[in-house]
Amino acid sequence: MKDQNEKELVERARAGDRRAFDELVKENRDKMFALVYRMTGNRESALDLLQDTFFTAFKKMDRFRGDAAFSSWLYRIASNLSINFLRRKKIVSFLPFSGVHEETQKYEMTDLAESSELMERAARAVESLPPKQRLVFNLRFYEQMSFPEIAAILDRSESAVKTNYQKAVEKLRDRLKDFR
Amino acid sequence: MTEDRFEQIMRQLEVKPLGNEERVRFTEKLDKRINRYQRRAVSFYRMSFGMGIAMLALIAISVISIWSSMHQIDGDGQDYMTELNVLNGYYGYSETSSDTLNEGYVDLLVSEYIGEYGTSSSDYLIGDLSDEEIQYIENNLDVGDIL
Repeated sequence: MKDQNEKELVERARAGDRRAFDELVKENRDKMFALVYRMTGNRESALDLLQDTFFTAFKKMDRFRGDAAFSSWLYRIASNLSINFLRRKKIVSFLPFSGVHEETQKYEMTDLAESSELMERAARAVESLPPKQRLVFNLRFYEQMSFPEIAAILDRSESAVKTNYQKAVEKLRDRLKDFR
Repeated sequence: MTEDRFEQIMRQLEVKPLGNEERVRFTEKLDKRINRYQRRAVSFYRMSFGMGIAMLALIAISVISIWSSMHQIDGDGQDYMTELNVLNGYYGYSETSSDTLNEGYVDLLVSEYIGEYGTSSSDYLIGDLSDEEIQYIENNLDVGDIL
């Protein structure tokens, strides 16, 4: 039923129905925000990326074939934008007086049961992952996607995605090994 | 660190959902961006349409001016040839005939000249004299006497 509704909304949005597109935005906004926030670690940057994601989707609506779920297509756009954002940021951070190094990236943490030190360390550990490993980890661990789904979104082989995930988990565990 | 413990820690890194203010800001910004994009797209199509029309008009004007100038050359030539043919027909002259004037043509020109300037009394007088009378005048008339 939900899929059918989504298909109808997508069809209408493709035909230029702005209300249908707004509905799709409303349906997927929070999921996409969670991903881009986990990737950027900063609410303002995440809001900008969220906006870029839906704006890109609006512009390229006619390219969406409808083979996969609309949210998968959005995840793909958001993933690419996030990777580009992190790469750009890394390049800019090398420039003298860029000011980027002064910006503190903090994960928003709610209902913390553990010590703030542990959570801080965990957040830093995720942030230190290479962009692709970080993306795969977020999609698998937090968005609970299957490996084939992630492979389709990132346009990579399933085995490559699995390897990325395993490496990410190993690194995170290693950085949190002092805590029990 | 056990797998369960690792998962327990990582699960606590929750993302605070979008607040109302953030949601409104996001929606407003996205709307603005989409509206601007649509306006730009519309104005681009309008401009392209206008440019297309202007180009077509320019091409049409060029074609018409080229065509009309060619037509004018043809027309002038045609008019000139028609006039020439009328004259040739009138004077019995054609491009194929030789360049030397024939007798009929000269007579025609002379008579036309006479018709235009009129005839003097002497013309009539000379024309009325017989060959004998002319011979007599030639033999006996002294120009000095007349003067």
